[in-house]
Amino acid sequence: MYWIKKLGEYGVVLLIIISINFLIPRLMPGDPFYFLDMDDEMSYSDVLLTEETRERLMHYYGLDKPLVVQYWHYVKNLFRGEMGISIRHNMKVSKLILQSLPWTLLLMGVGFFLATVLGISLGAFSAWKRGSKADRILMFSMVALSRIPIFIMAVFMLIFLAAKLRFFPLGGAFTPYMEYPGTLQKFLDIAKHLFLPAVTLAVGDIAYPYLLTRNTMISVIKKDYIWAARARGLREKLIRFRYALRNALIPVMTARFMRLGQLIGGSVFVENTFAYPGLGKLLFDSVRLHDYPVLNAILLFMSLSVISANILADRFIYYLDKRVEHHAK
Amino acid sequence: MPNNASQPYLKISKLNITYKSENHLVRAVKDLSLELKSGEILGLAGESGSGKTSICKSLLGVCPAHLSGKIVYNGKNLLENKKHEWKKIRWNKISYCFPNSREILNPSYSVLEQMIEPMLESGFRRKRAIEHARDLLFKCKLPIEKHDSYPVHLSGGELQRVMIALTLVNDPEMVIFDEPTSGIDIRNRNEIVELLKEILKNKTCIIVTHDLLLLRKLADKIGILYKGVLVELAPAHLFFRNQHHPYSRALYNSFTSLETSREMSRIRDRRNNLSHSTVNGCVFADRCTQAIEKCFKDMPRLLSYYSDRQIACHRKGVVSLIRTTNLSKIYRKSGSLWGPKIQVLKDVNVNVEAGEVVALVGESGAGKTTLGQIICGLIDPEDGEMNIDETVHRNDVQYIFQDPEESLSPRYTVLEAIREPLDIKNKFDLNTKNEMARKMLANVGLYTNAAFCDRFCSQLSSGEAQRLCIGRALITSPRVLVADEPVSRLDPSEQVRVLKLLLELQTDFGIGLFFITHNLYLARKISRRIYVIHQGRIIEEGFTETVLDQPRHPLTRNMVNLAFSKKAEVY
Repeated sequence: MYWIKKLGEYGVVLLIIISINFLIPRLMPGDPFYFLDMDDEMSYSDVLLTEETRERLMHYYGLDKPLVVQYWHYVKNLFRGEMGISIRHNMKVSKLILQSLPWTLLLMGVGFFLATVLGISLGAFSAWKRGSKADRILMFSMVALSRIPIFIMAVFMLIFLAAKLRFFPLGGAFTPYMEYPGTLQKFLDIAKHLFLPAVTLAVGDIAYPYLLTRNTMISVIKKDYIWAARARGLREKLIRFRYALRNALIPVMTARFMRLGQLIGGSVFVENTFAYPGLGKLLFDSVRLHDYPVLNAILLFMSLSVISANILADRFIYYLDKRVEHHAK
Repeated sequence: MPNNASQPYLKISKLNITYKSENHLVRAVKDLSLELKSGEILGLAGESGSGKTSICKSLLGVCPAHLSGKIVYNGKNLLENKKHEWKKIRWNKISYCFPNSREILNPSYSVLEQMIEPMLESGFRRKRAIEHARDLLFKCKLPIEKHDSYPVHLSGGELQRVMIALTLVNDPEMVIFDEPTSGIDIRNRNEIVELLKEILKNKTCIIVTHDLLLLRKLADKIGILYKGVLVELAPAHLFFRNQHHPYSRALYNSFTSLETSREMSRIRDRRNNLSHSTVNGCVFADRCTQAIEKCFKDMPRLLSYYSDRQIACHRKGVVSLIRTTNLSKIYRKSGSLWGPKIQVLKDVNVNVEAGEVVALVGESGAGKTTLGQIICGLIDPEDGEMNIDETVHRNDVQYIFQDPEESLSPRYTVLEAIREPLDIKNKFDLNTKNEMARKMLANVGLYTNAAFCDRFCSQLSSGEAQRLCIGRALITSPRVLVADEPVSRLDPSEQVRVLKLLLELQTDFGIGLFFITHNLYLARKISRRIYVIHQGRIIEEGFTETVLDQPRHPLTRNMVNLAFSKKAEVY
């Protein structure tokens, strides 16, 4: 019953999101053929777009129909599992997304994992040693890090570590046209390309889990069950992990899952700075080119990931916090 | 366990626990010293904030405060313990049943999981530990389907059982129970008390609680704590017979379920307008009705003023305000020097302690009023002695007469009548006196407006006259009040109001109330001790409950039967 209700709620949310997603790209000034008209280095052709050609193209893509009809077609196709064809790439949108998605997932996954694990560990360490020099230094640097915009960080990394010091490649997800002698070499190449964007993402994100863990852990340390466990003669290590951290994790993990949904949106900056061929880059290009079907699909995907992150958070809390289960009953 | 049986198992000496907060120090426990023999059950009682839990925590080294003094266990001072030394003590030697709260257990792990932790810590194998934990939970009567529940899924009673089982996992020699029955319903409570009895058979134990009833059932020795100071330490059976420290007595009296028939009373509030500072003095001084100057200056030490117990009080416990020795009184037939003598009183020994209601019951003509008047100094005894406490002035003994209308001059106005004792003392100017008189009128539930104050005493109803008499007796803040049938003339609802008032005032001023009555119901309701007088002799005396429940003298038995068999008819 609980889950049926929850799913119903999410269904309604999804419908609203689909409608908004449909509208947003179309609210931008211009249309998908605008770029053909542009007179700068961004335009890809010297073809002069006549009024006649434009109308023919509009008709071809069904963009001359009223918005309501377009919307109806969009929703109908969506439920059939059809996301349309990219105007720019002349390729099925689903295929396009499937190409970029793995790179984004890899980048997000590694960045998110790094931020979460490091943030929580450092937060727990800080809380346990609160007031000490180590805690104060950590606290200061975390707050400072969280204030630096992520694209500045990205540019900084790019200039110093890649361009100046040449430790890492400047962009891309792998070296193009490279023949790998073995899997290990392939893995290393991908890891090398992944490093800077993933670290940038992690560094931009780490302050949230750190601060939250530190705060909750400090309040958990004051709880009665901490000294009670000590009175029982339990080892400090046990108290620190099973008693303090385990209970501090409840709000931290909730926040982390919520964050997971937002991360894909956050990847736009990083992917574009590092020319990483993920969804974020695809999104950016599509916005520039008014590629409505691709935009719709990516926006939908992002919304879905936010929703599923929330569901995951719900589910996970259900597992972590015994009280939720109790009240749900 | 120590080899030498006479050596104490645990010895606490001069333990001080001080909490430091931002800008001030709070001394939670002050100079606590006590000893515990092996197998002994010590009950520590006191209101919340008296330092009970701090003491328990310090025994396990988890008290987050500055500790000084000594806690000697097995010849070693626990306060000097290193971390690894604590490990041997905690749970293996001493375990602690935490005060009942969900916050005590880790909300994220099941009960069983937490039960086995201390066992795994001391080297049990997991499987063996689980078996043992289940056994104990079973023994503590936690339903088997609840063994794997999380703390949040358990009721208060179940949680308490878990907590008790948890203390036993490593089979400690000593267990500390902190409020083991608070917040638990009566059925669960009784089961838990039974369980504790079973468990404590071969363990040394400290039970910390504010529940004296629990201690009466379980403890061998009672310690009463007030604001971190041990004020009385006595064997349990003696403590429950009589309490000597003013605070322990007040605490006992305020406990509802110990004395089932008597009216409960509260402990007097703190006095705010004290001229003395109480920082160095006795902790109870600001609430104590018998405090003398010394009480505000020095902290009393716990000393054996009595052979059977120790108390910390400069006044050596609750003082006797009035004590008579072998009082006798002979009246001659009125107006005659040679007429036949009537022995009204013979060898009467009574005493009234501070803050106590003592009832004097007997038939009419038994000598009750005469005794009252001698105590009050209105007539002199023929023989015998009257001792009054050093702090009590002659004027501090007041009398409420049997017949209010007769004792008020009809020519006085109400204000004049109630002011009269102040006029006699002549300490204050007129305005102050009027002010005090009006205040007292309000205190006894009378009007303070001019119309009422200017009324003549002859115009009052008997209830009003009775109140006026009480007010007049109280206006000089007496220490002893002899009340001769103060409510016999009043109708029942008035009786209750007047009595409540008397008891309230008694609590606040620590008056020793010598209550003369022939009404046994009333005596049972309000008095702590009772004297039965018959033909001028005290034939029976003792605590009211004892005397009325198990009267020993045939005449008393007769009287009690007569009085209380009526009750059986009525209901």
